[in-house]
Amino acid sequence: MKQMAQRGGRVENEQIKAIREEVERLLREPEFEKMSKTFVHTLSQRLGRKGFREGGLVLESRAPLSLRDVLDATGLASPKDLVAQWEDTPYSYGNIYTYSFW
Amino acid sequence: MEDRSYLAIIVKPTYDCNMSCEYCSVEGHPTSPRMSRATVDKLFERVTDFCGTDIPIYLIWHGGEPLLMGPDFYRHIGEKTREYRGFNIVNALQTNATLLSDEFIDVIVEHNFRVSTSIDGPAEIHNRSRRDRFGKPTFERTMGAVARLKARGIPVGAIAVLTKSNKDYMPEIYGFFNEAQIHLRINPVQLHGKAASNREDVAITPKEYGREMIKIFDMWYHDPDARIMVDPFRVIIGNIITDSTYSCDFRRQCHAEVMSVSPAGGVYPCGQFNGNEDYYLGDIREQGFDEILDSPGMARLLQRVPENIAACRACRYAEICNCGCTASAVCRNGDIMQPDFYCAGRRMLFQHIIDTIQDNLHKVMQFEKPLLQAPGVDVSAAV
Repeated sequence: MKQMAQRGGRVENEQIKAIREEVERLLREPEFEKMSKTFVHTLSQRLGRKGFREGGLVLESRAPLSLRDVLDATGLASPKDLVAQWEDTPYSYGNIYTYSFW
Repeated sequence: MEDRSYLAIIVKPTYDCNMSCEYCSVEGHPTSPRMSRATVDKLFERVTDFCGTDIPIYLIWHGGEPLLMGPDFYRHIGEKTREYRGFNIVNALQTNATLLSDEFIDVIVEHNFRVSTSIDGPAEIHNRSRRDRFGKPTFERTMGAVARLKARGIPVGAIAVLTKSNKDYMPEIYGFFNEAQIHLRINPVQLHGKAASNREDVAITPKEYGREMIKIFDMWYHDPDARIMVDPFRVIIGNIITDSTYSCDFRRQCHAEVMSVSPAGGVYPCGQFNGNEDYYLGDIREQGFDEILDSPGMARLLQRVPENIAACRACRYAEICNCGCTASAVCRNGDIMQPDFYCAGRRMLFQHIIDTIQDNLHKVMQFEKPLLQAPGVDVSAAV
């Protein structure tokens, strides 16, 4: 149900508020908590399923990542498990660094 | 503006262009000087003085057509960037790419320029609106350049402009970009310059904008074979699920973070205003950005927030939209203190995206997590 409320002279969008509260709740779930600690996060499963990098993993970051960052975030044991290719997202002019692994 | 996340300067080293697109917002400048190297050097001095080493600096080389300046100009920029190592400077080119020689690509690779181009869709759609000065189509030249950049490991994104001539071809446009694996930003035509003169041929209504954007959003969001990011959808989702806004056209007081510099060194609010003396803010040859931010012109621009515009104060999307794009707002009658020209369509799109993601947040977070971390930079609407 779409509701609105006035607060401080501005309209508060209850639907957006509910979405943000749910996002906050989801962020505390283990699946997301681990990935949200340092940088990041992942486009991995979605894009993997979609064949962008079939079976692969895509990580995004606001700053360049070290291999150690990547291993910590992914839980992978060794650099040998990864073949990395640098990419970025030029449409956002480079503030997000994207790493693809497969 | 309390917290500065970045400074983005849309630099127009020339207003000249080798193309003559039907919706150009730049064409019509009476003179078209070229930026001198002394002005480039002054720009580096000004932005680094202002930002220090902590705040990212994005220099987006735009035009006109920026490649008309020749490869040596960009080699000089690359060398200046090296000279200022220790500062967080990112150079990007927004180019039609038709003049992209191998020498240019060498410079891009050597100096780590990021590249975005303009493509309106597959050849038959692109060539309707994007022709060169001689009326010749440009699709093959642009796509050839994209292929050569990709072959050298340079990823390329694209901006597509939604106009009257391509608005009925959303499936073809989405299919083309997805197949080509080119990340896409879709901007509505802004009725400035030549586009304003060609209003009959290029203009779309706000509701047409909303309808067509919803179509392409649905195609992308529900496509099991989606291979690309499409904006502004991703940034709108980011605006919704966080309390930050990511793209300049939705960012509160964007003008304090995004400015534009003319060939001679004049400073304007953003690329869309560059050369419009009503919005002149200062000159980097004489002033630093601190002083320019304190100018009366900037003070007026920073008043454009939802609290000060009646229609936005009452809007339930204000927190994710922040009045929309100033350059779009002034298309109506020149007044900045009003909502985005495409407001009605944007509201349709916002509500559609909210309704679509609200029952599916788990999926959204799988691909939107970077937006949860910290705000990013996207000034594609300002060029």
